[in-house]
Amino acid sequence: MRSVRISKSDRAFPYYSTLPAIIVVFLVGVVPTLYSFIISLQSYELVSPVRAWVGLANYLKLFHDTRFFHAIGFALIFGFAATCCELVIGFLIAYLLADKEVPSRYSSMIRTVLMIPFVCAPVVMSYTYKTLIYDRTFGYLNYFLGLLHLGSFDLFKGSINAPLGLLVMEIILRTPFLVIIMYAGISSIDLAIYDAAEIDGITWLQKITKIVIPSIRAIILVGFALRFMDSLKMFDEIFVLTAGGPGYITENATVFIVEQGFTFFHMGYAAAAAFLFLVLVIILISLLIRRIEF
Amino acid sequence: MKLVKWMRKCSKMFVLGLIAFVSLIPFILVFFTSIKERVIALSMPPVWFFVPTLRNYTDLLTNTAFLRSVLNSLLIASASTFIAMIIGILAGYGFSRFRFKGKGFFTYMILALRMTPSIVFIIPYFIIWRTIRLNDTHLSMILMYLTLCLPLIILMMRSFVVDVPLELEEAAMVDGCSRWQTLRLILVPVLRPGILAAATLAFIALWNDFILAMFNTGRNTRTLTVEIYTSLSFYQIDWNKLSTSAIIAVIPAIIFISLTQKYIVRGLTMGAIKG
Repeated sequence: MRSVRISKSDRAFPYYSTLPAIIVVFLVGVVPTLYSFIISLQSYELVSPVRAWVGLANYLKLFHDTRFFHAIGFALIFGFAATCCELVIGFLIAYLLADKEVPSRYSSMIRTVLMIPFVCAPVVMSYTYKTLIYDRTFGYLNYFLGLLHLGSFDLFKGSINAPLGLLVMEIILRTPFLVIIMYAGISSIDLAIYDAAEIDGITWLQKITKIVIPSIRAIILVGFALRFMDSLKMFDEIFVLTAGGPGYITENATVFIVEQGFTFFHMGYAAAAAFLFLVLVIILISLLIRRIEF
Repeated sequence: MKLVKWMRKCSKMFVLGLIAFVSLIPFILVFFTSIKERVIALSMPPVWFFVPTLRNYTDLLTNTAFLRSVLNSLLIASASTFIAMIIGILAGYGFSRFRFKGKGFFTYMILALRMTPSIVFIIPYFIIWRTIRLNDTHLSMILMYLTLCLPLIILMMRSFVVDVPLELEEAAMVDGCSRWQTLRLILVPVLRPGILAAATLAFIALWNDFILAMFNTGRNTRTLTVEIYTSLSFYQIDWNKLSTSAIIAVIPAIIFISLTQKYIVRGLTMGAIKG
């Protein structure tokens, strides 16, 4: 950290310049969170005007709600699985893109194409997948499966199809993010290192595990942290594609809270669930932040 | 030997092309559906040869509800990005150039805000806006979107400022600029590409947001993503409309991203990585 010698007239400048940000973060971020905690201590139904203090009753009820634990568990497992798949696939694509034999203009064209999926609104993309691709009668997936005599794919049949469909969609939509940041890391590795290693007779697998991965370790960690935290709070894709169904197999924490708050109107209960979810997220952030220098 | 090398090169290029194609499949399908006549859009097996039509586009662009939602999205996202940029440039400068009490804590707060699930804010805001009678106003959406874009922008700007050589500022201050003048006259012009990239990424994040808008917009402020979601739920399988609005929703994002490619990698990781 560098710092300038501060003259007297400018001594207060650090405070002037950061004060607006601190005030706004406090007003739009901290105040609603505290208010959410207050709501979670009340029995607050959207349909009835009566609000009563119930203390920790909402939290006690949550601890006996298997559906809530299922939702938290699904968010964690799905987020972890999706992030790991995306990291592995993304690494392979980025490695291939940075390959010396691939012309750089071709590689940059492919990267531009890969940028398109992640600048699209997830809700629109999920609709597209739901109708044009996964739909049982009109979707192209089943049309091509039929042409190849491979049976058909029904998103809502069995307990594995819906999570699988979500996972495939999530991987196709989100891997490009990791490809682009990992490509930046791999392509900036000094070529002299490869040459030196080749003289020592390195195999391609050793090249990946001994040179490439250690060099971009920081990028992999940041990519993992960002993708994992984002897929933990994923909403649009699940809400549109399966709405948590069939049953509540694909319901994650966010969908559960929305369901409680805006379908059943249990605002107090939903606020309590949201608050617990926030506590979990903050614990995870604190664990991740120690390994990463932001 | 040369042939083997050539084959290897071609197969690598082929694999990459295939990957790009797979990620483009939905867009190709959407594009073709958007230029099909309503009757053949749904037919299965699909009609591969057809006369393209622009009717879906003219239908959608004369639909006032749709146009209004586009305007709402533009207004809300750009106003929120603009406010966040002003606050964010100042804070990015302050956070990267000075040490002061409580700095570590605020940096942590901003990072935590970036990763906090939006769902945590939806319930309190839903009730707050109703209590102070601000529900269904553009102002409420602009304020709420600050939670999404402000942390993003502060973290990005902080990392861009660190890269500017300190000597530049010192020279300006020797010549008699105050801190404020140095920031305005020296740093902002130097940082312009970074500022553009940060604004672009923030704007796209807001333009694509669905969850905050879904539960806090009403008749007057419905944004594009919510409009697409609600209009499709009503008329279940209007695939032409879906495809056409998908194409239109994606246009601004693609334009913006192609303008600021260079700084995007830095921006995407909020400065954690120098790309």
